[in-house]
Amino acid sequence: MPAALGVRILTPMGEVLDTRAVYLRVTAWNGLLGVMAGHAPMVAQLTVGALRLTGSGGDVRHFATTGGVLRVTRRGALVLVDAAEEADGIDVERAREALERAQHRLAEATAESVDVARAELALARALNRLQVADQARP
Amino acid sequence: MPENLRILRRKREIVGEIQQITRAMKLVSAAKLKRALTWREATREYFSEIETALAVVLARVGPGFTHRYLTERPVERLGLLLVAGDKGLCGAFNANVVGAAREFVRRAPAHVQTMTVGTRTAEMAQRARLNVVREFPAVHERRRGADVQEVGRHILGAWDAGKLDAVHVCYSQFISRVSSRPVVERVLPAQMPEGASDPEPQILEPGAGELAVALLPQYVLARLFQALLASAAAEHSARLMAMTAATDNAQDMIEQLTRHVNRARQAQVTRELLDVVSGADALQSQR
Repeated sequence: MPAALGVRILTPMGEVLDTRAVYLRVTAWNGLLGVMAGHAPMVAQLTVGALRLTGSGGDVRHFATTGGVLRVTRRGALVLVDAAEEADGIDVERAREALERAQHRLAEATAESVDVARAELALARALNRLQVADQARP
Repeated sequence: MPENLRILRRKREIVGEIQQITRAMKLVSAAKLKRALTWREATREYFSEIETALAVVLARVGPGFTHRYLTERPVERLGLLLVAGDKGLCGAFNANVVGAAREFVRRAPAHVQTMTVGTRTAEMAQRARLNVVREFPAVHERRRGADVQEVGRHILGAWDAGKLDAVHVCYSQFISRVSSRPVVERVLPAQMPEGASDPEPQILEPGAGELAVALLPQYVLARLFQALLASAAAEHSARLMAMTAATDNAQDMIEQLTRHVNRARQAQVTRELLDVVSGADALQSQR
């Protein structure tokens, strides 16, 4: 059996997860990034995306996360993000509403408006939550 | 005087009713304090991990690296984020923070623009003649993420637009359940902790510079988050103490009033007895 990697997800709202996994996959700035036990110390930038954990029994857990940073030390992996939600806890209805709201705001916003960046980010988050919720469905 | 007795009894009832309210508020504050402490702990851990990650990254950026959140500039316009509560009935909690802010403004080398968190804070700051330019409501328990984001966005926005040269935050630092202290800390330009960086070689994805750029806003926001939640915990503990004192005082008052009631009742009984006896005496002497 491969060695297990300690994985913690911390947000400013509190700890979302503290567990052990065989394989952790996060969405880094330039694509997917996999981490297993014994990985060299690392700091990596994360974007809005999916986080996947594979347990020792082959069980898989999905999380939707916002942007942030992943820190790997000898002790394990630490995911520091603004927010993280496990797939089965995602309120699909609400995510869909957020998506529509963001699309609406983007359609109305003028190109120079400061709110475009915010709306784009909101759109990415809503889309991500929907995708993650969809992936996790058997 | 039966009038007097009635008034005393009514007073005692009223004090009892007030005590019921203060006792309820005490229990609510105790529950809220417990929750606020858990959140404060969580936020503190998040903040310290972000700080460590940033220290690791900053130790590896080249000497030429500069960032607008780190650059000191001549201070002409100071921003002060004044954090206290929405409500009163918490002893000197709000007043202490506003007092610390006044002291800061008095000593400040430059013009200070005050931003307040908490409706009560805003009122008191205005009464203290602070220059309040923006008011935010206190951080709501369930929406705390969004609330802090809003405050943070405003501050970072003002900073990016060059409207402020330094931003300080004045809030109550929670020390223990029975004590907190108003503190003023500088948020921008960010002060980095010395040393404390992981000496091991690190893989940095992408480079140190890019990571620092990505981490700095997260760091400043986490810092605000921490200040706001520490203030919330301090507020609940202040209210808990104030309401405990109020409940105890009400108890003392009830006991005192009960003594007065008893004395008044006894006086009345004596008086009535005296009336009866002297009436009987009068009848007897007539015979």
